[in-house]
Amino acid sequence: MPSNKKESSLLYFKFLNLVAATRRLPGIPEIDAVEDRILAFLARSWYAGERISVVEAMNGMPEISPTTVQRRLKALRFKGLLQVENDQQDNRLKYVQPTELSMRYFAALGQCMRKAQAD
Amino acid sequence: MLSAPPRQGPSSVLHFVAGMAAVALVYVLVFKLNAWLFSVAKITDHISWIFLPAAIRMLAVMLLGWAGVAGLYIGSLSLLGSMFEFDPVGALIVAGLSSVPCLIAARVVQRLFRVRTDLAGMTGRQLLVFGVAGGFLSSGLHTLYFAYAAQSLAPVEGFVPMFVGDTLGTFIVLYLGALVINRVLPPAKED
Repeated sequence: MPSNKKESSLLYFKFLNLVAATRRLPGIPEIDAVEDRILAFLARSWYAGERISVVEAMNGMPEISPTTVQRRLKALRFKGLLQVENDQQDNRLKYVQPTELSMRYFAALGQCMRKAQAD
Repeated sequence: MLSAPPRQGPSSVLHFVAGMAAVALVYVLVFKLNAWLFSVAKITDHISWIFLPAAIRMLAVMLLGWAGVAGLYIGSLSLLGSMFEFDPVGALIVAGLSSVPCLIAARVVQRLFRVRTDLAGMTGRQLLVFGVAGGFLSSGLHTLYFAYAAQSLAPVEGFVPMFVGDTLGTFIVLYLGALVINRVLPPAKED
């Protein structure tokens, strides 16, 4: 394997290990792969400044069934990684919003990336 | 005026359940159809400038009374699935607001115009009043509840599109129905 490729792979493995360690940090609730995937999907919308409703989230990931997304959103809310806000006009419409904890989690993942590159 | 259905035999129970199931199914189907047909007119998933299911609400309670209310309640609840997960009490209340007020409005208008319980002799104009009254009461109560739940007056903005949507939706369905009936069953010509 050329050294360039080897270095890149090593960087990626370091990153994965750091992420795994970060997930075991005290104060960070345990999340599984599906929840991680949902959080990543939501994070992209939040970063783009979009408001995303529960129904949009449920239908936004074709690889995960809407019912599973709905259940996992509830679990993530319970873990404090997201909050649900009502629409101003119609309280039947619920928006999924980040929390302080989810922002800390994303920041921790960002730190993992920096650390992996720096080491 | 809104007494519970009297105790009846098994066939009446069967009629009640069948009516309820049919209303729930038709309500959900028309709701989905409305979302598909009038996506440009939608304000939120449940508020649109044209809201055809309002006609189903009116017709269901006029034809089936409490069985219609029960069907609308179940249908509404199933459409509030995601809300139910995060705000179950709110979902139960909103489903009630999508069903019971229609029966109250229908009974009030029925009394006001002295329309018989079998609806015999009811005029087309009276039918339209039923639609407007149902839309007004339903939209008004929804708005009041949303304002109470949000502790703000912002939901008041939703009243106009909700009321207009309900009224327009009811009128569209009634006139389409009239058109179909006239085509299929043209009025008999007098010699």
